[in-house]
Amino acid sequence: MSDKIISKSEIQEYIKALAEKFTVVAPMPRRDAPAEFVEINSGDEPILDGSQPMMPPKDYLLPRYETLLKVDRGPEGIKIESTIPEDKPRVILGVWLPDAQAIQVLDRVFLDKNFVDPYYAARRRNTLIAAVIPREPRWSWFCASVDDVEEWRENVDAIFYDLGDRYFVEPKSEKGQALVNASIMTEASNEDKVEKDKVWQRFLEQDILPFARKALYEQLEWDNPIWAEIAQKCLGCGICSYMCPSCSCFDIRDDMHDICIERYRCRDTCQFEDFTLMGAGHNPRSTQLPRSRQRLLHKFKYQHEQFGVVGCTGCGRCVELCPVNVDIRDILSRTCANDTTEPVA
Amino acid sequence: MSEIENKIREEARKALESNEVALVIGWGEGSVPFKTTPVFVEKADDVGKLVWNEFCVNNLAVYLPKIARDRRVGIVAKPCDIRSIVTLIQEKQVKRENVFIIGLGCGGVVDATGPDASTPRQMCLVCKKREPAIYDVIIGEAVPLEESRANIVPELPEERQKYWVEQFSKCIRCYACRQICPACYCRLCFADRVEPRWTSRKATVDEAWMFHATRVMHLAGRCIQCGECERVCPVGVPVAELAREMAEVIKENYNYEAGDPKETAPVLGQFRENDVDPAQHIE
Repeated sequence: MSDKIISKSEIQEYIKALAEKFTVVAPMPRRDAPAEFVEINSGDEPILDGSQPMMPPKDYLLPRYETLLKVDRGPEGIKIESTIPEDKPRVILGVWLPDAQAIQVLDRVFLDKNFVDPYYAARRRNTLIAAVIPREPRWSWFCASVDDVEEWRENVDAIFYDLGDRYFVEPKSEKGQALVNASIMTEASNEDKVEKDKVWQRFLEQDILPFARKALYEQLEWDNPIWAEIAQKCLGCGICSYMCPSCSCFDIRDDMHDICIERYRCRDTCQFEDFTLMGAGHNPRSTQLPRSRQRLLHKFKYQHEQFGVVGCTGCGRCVELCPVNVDIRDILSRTCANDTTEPVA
Repeated sequence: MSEIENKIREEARKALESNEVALVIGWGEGSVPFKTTPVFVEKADDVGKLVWNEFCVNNLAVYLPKIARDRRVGIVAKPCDIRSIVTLIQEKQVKRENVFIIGLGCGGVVDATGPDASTPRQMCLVCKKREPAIYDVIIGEAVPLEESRANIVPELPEERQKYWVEQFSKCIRCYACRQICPACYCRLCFADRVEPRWTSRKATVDEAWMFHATRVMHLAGRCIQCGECERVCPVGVPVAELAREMAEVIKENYNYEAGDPKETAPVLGQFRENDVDPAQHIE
């Protein structure tokens, strides 16, 4: 697979050609809000360089609100309508590398061998992921502290490295070859490769937190006093999990409209008081302490045990947006840093 | 700045050493230089954790209903935070004798989302009450602010409609606006009720509209306009703008301002003979 170069001035042409074969999804800028992954048309100007805050791409693959089925009572009796989305070739452009890895986490949840979620699968099965490595990593990223980011690069279909006036395009998978457009892209030169390596080097120069990675799943403990400390200030809103690229919890509810029933799913989070509230009134996580603990242990311990991947990819959204500055990096540094003799690996 | 910080620590130490309070809520150093985080100081030796700088945004009154229910708690508070405490006292969510207020004069605080991204908290730009309304000790003086907030909401009804549709379409229903709000202390929010169901959790314009409109109705005459709701919104919905307009309506019709210690009861908890018929607000 040979590496290519595309000038930023050719991006519009590139998207236009891509749109002939794929439904193209990319982060579109919005007024006073992070960019959002939506299906774009040729002529749209998405943010592809990864430089701006953006909603997680899960908002496209696992929408915040999605109808699961509709039940209608018409003259011919009861009719049940499936709302599984169309399974068509898609490509998602401009995905931060940590977000691309987060999709790997979502895949393990929704494309599990025991149960494949048909709604997620329809959007995901034929979707190519094109990750972007921006000029500068965001201040809040801590990807390399939680996982092997070199490995992440192999999990995507293509990577676009931002070289300023052009992108260095690295196809990563067989399918990812479809993202190469020979008539618009040129062969990458050795100088381009040197520059690309510099961009990758900058990505690796994110803050490295002071603990060994395996401490994350070996040392985070159920009865650490830090949970009480977080719970005291945590207000129990949904920002950290709703903005998280890998948090996938949802609720399923029914809505009645006249004689029609809509079953839908929407976001839910372990941070909400009613997340574990039982029908009869018992709540096993009735205070914030077990709720705060759950989010961290789920990401680092349970998901690692279950799938062999860490459920946090260090995208830093919760770090940036927490209303009371609960900083996951601090929590990890303080709970996992006991054994500092071992180098980060 | 650091002089005020020292005084805060001194007052907190005195209050803790004399056992006047069980703990002091204040702002502590954040995980990054441009943020602070709420701290709960229980030992006099820990008062060094308390800081005062332009990033002390959080309205700490939000913690009081739970934490000061049966004990006296010290709180470091800006004038807006103090107005929240006043409403909490009026609404009997906290007893005056259970709060020890270390009151600060204020020149507005800064909402920083990154090392190079900081703006004044938007509501600070329209704030006119920069002196503590009530306090047990007072530190520092009010600093008037030069800037002002641009009028962001269009005036014509059709344009307003369009504006709010765009804003509410961004809402992800994370409820951060509600959770950060000192006035949103309901044990069970209408939005979380399953039966009757007032609004569903669907992140759609209609449901978001229902949620925000109902919330602002519930805040009528109670919101003191600290602007924390819109500061914390991860998708930039100017939630506080709704509350600000509601406060204007209340002021105009009932001559009432939330957080005024001269009032003894919430505006909706009192009746005056010349009160406007609420039905007349429609036009």
